[in-house]
Amino acid sequence: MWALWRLISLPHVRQHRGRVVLAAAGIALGVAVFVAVRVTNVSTLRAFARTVDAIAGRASLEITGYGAPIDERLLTVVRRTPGVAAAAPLVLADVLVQEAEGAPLLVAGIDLVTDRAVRDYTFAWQETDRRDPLALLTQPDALVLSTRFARRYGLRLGDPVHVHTAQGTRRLVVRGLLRPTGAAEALGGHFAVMDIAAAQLLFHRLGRLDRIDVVPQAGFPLDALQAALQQRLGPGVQVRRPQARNRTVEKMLRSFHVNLTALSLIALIVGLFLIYNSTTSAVVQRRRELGILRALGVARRRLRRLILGEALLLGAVGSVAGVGLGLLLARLALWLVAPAITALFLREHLDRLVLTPGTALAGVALGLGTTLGAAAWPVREALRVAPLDALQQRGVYTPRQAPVWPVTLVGLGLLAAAYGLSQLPPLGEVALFGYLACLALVLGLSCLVPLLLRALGVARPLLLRGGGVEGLLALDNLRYALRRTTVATAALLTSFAMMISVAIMIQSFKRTVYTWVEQTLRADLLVHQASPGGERSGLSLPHALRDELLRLDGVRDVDSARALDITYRGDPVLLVAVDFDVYARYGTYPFAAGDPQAAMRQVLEAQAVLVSENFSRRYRLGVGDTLVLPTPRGPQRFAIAGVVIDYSSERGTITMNRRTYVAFWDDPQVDAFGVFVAPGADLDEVAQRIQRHFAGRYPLYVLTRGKFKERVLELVAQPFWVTYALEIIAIAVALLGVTTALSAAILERTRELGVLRAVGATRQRLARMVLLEGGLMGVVGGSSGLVAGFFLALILIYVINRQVFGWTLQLTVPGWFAAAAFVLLVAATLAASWRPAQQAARVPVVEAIQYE
Amino acid sequence: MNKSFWFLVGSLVGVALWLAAGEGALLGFQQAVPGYRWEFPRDHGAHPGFQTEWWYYTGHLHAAPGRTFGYQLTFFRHRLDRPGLSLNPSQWFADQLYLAHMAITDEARQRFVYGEKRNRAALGVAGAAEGRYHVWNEDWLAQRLGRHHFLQGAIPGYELRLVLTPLKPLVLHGEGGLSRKGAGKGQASYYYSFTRLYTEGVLRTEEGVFDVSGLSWMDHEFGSTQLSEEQVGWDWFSVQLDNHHELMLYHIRRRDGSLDAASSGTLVRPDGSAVPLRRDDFRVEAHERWRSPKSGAVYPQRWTLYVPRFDVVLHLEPVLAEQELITDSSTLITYWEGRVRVRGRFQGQETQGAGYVELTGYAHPVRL
Repeated sequence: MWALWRLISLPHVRQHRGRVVLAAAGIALGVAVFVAVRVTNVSTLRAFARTVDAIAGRASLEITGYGAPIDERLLTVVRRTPGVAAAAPLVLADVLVQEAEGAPLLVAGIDLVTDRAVRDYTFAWQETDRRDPLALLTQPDALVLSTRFARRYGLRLGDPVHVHTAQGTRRLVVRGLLRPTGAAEALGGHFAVMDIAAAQLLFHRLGRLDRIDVVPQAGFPLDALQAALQQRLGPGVQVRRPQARNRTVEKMLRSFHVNLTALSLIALIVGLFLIYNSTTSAVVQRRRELGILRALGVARRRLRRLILGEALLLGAVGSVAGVGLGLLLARLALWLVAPAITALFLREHLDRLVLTPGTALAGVALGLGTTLGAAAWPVREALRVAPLDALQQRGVYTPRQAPVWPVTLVGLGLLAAAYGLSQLPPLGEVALFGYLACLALVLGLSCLVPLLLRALGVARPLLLRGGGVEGLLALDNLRYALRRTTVATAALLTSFAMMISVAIMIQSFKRTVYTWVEQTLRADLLVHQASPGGERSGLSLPHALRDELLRLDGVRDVDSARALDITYRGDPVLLVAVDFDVYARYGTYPFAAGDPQAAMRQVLEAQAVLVSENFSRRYRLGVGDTLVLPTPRGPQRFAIAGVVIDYSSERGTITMNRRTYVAFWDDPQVDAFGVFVAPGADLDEVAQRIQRHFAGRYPLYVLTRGKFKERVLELVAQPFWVTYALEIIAIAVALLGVTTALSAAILERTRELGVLRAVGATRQRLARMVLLEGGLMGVVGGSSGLVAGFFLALILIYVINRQVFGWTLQLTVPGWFAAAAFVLLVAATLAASWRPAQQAARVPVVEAIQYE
Repeated sequence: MNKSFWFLVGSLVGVALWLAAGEGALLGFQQAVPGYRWEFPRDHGAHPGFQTEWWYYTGHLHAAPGRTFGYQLTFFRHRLDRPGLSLNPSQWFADQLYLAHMAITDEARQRFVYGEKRNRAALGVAGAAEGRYHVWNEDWLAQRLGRHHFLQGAIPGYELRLVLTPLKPLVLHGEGGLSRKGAGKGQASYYYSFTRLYTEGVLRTEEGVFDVSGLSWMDHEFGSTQLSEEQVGWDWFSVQLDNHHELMLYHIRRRDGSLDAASSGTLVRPDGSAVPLRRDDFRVEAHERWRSPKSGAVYPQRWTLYVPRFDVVLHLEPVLAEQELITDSSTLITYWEGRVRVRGRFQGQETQGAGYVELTGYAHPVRL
């Protein structure tokens, strides 16, 4: 075997280094995307779980409000409950530290006196002396930072720091450092503690706590304790295990994860085409050698093992490289995307990537499986050729009219299946059948490619006129060499369809969201809290600032919005509170169901809410139904007054009037103010006036409506940039497929080309013939890709998006983009045919025909 | 003098250091100075103006089937700073800390178990009333009801509820209740004791509930000083003899191994009258050493106390070597506090009794 390998394989690899590397790269790409998605997902979940565990310490139960702090007196009830060994109060606040490049920090206000019963802290000084951290009790500005955070940002004991909080900017002093053990490991060290009394004052939590952590007595049944606490504390708070939060996060990440994994599979299809092409050419180019070996008596089985072995080796190299590349990709994605997702979405600082053996193995298996699947067919074809034919360069490429109807029927069947699958409901929360429909659609259309190529016959007169005899030859080559041209064309179709469909989806998304923002955003200026870097910070603002805003010159009116993550039937959903008293004077919501006027009246006057279309769809609730939401005042019933178009959250949105919200949640904060500017006032001037007025207390980020809309569009398009990169790579790969297919065909047709040259065809005309072949493949692949892309987009928009997010997007086709992309594709195919064309022109006449 | 006055002060050295570093140092606290006018029951209660205060019970409990237990239940109050500098309406805003230790010496099972608590007053979890005697820390409690003291405390395996009745009036130590701790100005505390309290109650253990009775000793001490640089710790002895005498000796050890001049004691006669003892009036000899496997500290054991002035020679024998408390969750001090059996001669007469010994500063100086 080794001898064969040295004789047959190595020289080939050496000769076609580029193509071999590319094939491996194709597999690596698919595996990398798959691994990157899994690694990011697993790492995020692990980091979150680590933080939950680090902060929970020895606590097995935690008591929290439903989106609001709880009364501190509940702590007494908890402590008196039989089975409770210790209960620790906790005030939690996210802050941004100016002296640390605006880095986020979770500040835990703890009872320094008793907290050790629940959590472990090692104060950095304790190894050298026995100073008691309780000295911090009497220093209201004392902040104890994790040493990791302090070191990362060069902060030392005694340094003053300015923290941006939801209650304004405050000056604190680093009075202590925590060793990186126990709770200090939370959030990758972005964690600090201070005394609870100071924290209550600083973060406006007097009399209230964000959480009570409970350590049960050893051996006390946890379920019984949980039930007893819930019963004693009433329905206004929730008693749960800290790990329950991990599951919520898992749910939040799921749709994200599923979509990206689907994408990685598409990337693997690209790899599949690549391996197919590479194996095919590997076989075709060595047909003679293989024929000789067969003639010498080498068993077919051994040759099969040899060639499959080559492909598998390629696949293995690609897969392993893919795992490594996947880690790199995950690191890159983390670096690019994570700040947005982790800081705001999960409040999680990811700093450790976790590659589980399972992920690595799955990646390699996927890569090898793809390779094997892609290589099996060409290998079988090659070995079917009789040794004599092979020696005489005859065989695979025989211009005979193969029937296209069987594959066409299969294609039609697949298209019918695609339609059927698109009509099926989602499997749980995963639009599995939608993805299968996409797959069936692409494969089905690919199966129609032979028919399309054959049908090019109708273009004969056109080509005769435009391309002369070589045009006709090109056409017939395509039409009668379906085995080879079909795959390359189908690859073009697939990759182009992917790009077109995503482009349509992005455009529809942008257009839809833009229209929605246009309709619902009435205020002239949007006021958020700014980060130390001058961006939007994500910190909330006290609603009380509204009165100050109203008094400023040029301000006519002010409304506000508050968004809160709550749980509805165990799922995370978004609760939005809007000052409808103000808002209703300036505009209304786009309603999907319900009478707008009546609904707005109901929302203003009664305990009623508006729900988003996706919420309505997910929970099958509509106008007139009632929702029961867990509130700090116990479960409350809210009537659904209307169903509105709302793209705030892919998990569903419930919108209510701020007055209703405050009555149950008693939350003094808002996330943003909307400022209506007096007629004639200058927007920028008013914006600056607002910033100046709050300077020193609240750094503000003020955007005009126009700028805000631009930002929304950017935000919408952002997650898709990775997919664009992938699609471009996929198309590049498909183009390489065209090159490979054409040059392999030329190798097979050496004799035929020689005959053509012998009967008088010039080199230029042969070259033109090959270029025309390539161009025609581009036209067929591109145009069918356009069609496939359109239908793919329909599935993405009307099936997958609706099933996963519950959204209806308005279908918007980016016509110019599609046209330009088509032209570019055909041009690119011509470019890809350039080298095969040169190859055809160089065919030596005498040698080519000496077999005859 | 008595035990642990320095104890807490020293144990919360960080606070003291910080105070010392800050302006005004200890000026914010009331000082123990001569001429204090005692007034009871007011002075049983808390004196929040002083930095440190404790109510300290030790005793010997006997149960029916020949079982004997030693117990210690101590409530500390510690003030962090002058209030009012930065007022915070938070319930958790605190300038007072409440700490407590409890220990049981289970003689039959040769077991020593202890527990500790540390809280601030928030939500009424812990506190000490002023003007009357009511001190508590979570479910541990010391309270005066009429003449009686009521005690309650629980540690894993042992739950104590006791009623204590004074058999003698309280005794003021030192000069009218002012107990000197050193040569420095204000280096003193106010200190009185109930040296003989008849004790009855229940002790709930894993083996069942014991009806117990016996004798207890109670100290109440408050002041605002700390050990000086030269003082590393103290040894405190309390002895209750069957001949109705009680003896308290308080040794302050200096860095060079000598005994501080402020070391002192009190002898209480059967009629309740108290005789202050000066440093030269007594001598203590230790005959053995015990090395704690947990802290590594080497403690003296088996003492002989000599009070030649009254012709007293007493031999003290710990019922168990392992009676050490490592209080990393409250006072951050490691000390030995144990029940001892006493026998010896008192003015020519054979006598016996029981006592408690407290040894501090052996694991680390009670101060930096």
